[in-house]
Amino acid sequence: MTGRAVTGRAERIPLPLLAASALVAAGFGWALLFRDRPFETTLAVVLGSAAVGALLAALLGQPLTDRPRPPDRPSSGPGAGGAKPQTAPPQTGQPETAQLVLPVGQPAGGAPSTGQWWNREAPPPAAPTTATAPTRPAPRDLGELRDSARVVQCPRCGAFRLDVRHAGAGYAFRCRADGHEWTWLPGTTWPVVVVASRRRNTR
Amino acid sequence: MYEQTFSRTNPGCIVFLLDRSDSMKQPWQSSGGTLAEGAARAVNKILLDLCVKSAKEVGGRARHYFDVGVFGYGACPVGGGEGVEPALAGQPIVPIPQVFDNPLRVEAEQSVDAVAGSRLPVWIEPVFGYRTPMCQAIATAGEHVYGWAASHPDSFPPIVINITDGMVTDSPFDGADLAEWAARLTSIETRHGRTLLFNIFLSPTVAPEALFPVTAADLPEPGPELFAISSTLPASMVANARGARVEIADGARGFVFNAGLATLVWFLEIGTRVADVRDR
Repeated sequence: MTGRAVTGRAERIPLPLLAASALVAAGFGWALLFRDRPFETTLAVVLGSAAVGALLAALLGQPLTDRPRPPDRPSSGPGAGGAKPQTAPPQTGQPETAQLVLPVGQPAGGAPSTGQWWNREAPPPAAPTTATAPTRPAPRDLGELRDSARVVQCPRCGAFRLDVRHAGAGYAFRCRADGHEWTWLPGTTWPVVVVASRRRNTR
Repeated sequence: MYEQTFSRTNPGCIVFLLDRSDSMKQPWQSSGGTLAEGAARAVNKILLDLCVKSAKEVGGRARHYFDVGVFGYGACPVGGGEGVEPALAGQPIVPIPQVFDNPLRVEAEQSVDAVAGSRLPVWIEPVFGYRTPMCQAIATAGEHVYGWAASHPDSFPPIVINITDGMVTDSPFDGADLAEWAARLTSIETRHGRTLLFNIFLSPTVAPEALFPVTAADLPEPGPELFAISSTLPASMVANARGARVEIADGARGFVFNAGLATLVWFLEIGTRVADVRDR
């Protein structure tokens, strides 16, 4: 998950160099100290010296061979990206965090190619904001709504509490007050509403 | 100044700078997780909070009230190596509806302080490695913040929230130290004020929390430096904090030290809330 780029050691020590260094070190030790000792002692010392010599040769030879890779050489790590690696300074002292890292440079994705934004002038105050302006539907024409709207009443009793449903090209109404039913087609005249005063009816 | 509300006509810009250096692998207080996990969790929660704020009805799609950016610095999980990398699908600044529609995954929420429900979308993964190129992060994010401010002059100024646990390792960067980079960033402005830079200083050590302090006293290194580059909270945010019954003094800085998850989310809520979003 961390996606770390771990690049391995650039090159190994050449084997002939190692062997020659070990033999030279062993012979040097034998010549100095053990010429007059028994053969077993001499052999043990020679083998030990060879091992120590090989280790020293490896340690001494590493800086010369751990050079950066040439730029055109294919990289092996997932994040090498062909850039020149360099050793990272130890941060926490834990071995698993010491690794070869890429230099701080061009960030991946969305990075500015030329910086200096801090030297530019302040953003123009009247810059358009068309990119974020919401698209809105045109406001509804209320005049049209007024012309098309109709307040309906029962033609017989004048009640406004009506049930309505589509009936073919028109509408079918039923008055909840007196149960009167009728139909109406758009474009035709509304039935004449005859409303009798309740006071007059009750007298 | 700093009175503009968030709307679709004038959306807000909230940018997170997320420390992804190697030291973020340290444990975070008693949470059982790492600092990187805690920081990613807090950012995911606040992104969800912004999505919820931007949806006018429950279950509805988020509207474009915010543009959001997350820049990780340290390890770059996509590009590899060390540097600065946009962490929201590789995009520097993303409209919140796009964030809303594209989480990496949705996982069950185990905590009791979930912002919304028991399932938490994940946009940001915890990542750590390498050093702490904080100056480069400001330089990279600043380029995009500058461009955003130029195209939204009537919006609330950008809010940049830096979440880190330690020392900057690339100061000076390109000839300027951290304080200079912060000054450059906060010099970006809209008609309603300068860019706000808030800092969240996470620590693996056990120490008292410092929330919206007015002084850097008693803060461990690099707390004083982070405090110094933190913006003073504008009056609108102070009013929000006091409205939420947070004791906050005049002149308080947008800075928190050693916060737990609840405090961190709380800090982010106050730091990103100017006023209720306006439906226009």
